[in-house]
Amino acid sequence: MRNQMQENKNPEVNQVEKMENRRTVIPAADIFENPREIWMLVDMPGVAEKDVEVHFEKQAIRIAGKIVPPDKDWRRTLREYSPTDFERSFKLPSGLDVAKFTAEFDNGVLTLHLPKSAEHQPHKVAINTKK
Amino acid sequence: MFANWYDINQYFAQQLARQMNSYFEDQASSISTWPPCNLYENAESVILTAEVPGFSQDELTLSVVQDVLTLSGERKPARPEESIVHRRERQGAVKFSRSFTLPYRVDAGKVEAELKNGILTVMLPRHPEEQPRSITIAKK
Repeated sequence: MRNQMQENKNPEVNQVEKMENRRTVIPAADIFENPREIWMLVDMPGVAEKDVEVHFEKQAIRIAGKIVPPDKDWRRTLREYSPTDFERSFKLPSGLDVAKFTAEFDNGVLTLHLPKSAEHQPHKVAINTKK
Repeated sequence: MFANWYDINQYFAQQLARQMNSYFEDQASSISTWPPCNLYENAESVILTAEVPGFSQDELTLSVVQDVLTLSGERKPARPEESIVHRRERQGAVKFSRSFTLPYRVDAGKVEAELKNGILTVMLPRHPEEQPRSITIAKK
């Protein structure tokens, strides 16, 4: 399953253009995998919990977050980031239990737990010794 | 995707930072260019905002001395046990400290800070002595 968690390079997806003139940035993500589940952490600072969207469709997961733009009355003297919306899609490997996906959002970080379906989880086979 | 040169620059800087981080996975490296900050000002105060996703209040420290503001923090890496890594782009184990020279002296007693959705906002009111004062011109 390693390296299967790829970014969605499906041309069909990328060709769809958005009508709104809002720029989006790709949020930084960590993806880990253990025998039981895939664990994703996505940084989306500035997004309120209600503005986080997680969609699952056609073996792909789409994560999006909208931010509230800051007041324009203030003069900006240092600019190291521009508050923009976030959007990113990943192609999921097979063998995940879609019904058991869970998501949390805390301190601007989206945490997704994607458990593997029962038949993809390792189980130990007992070896009987015949005497 | 890119509106101007600044964004392109920022994009490559981010990509480079992500690449670099993956080499220093679990080491708590001390960085002086993270977190990204914005500084806003008007006549009465200065506002500093910093993107610190994943940090809790206890993991951040703020101090103001004269006109220097220091923001520092430390946290442990989040990685489940016995797992393999597919992607690691976020700031992992991190220890940072950034200092800013503010454009003017601030009223240290009235500084307020708030952490919301991974954004730290620090409100720094200008010191009363430094605020512009209008002087009435007497007519003789």
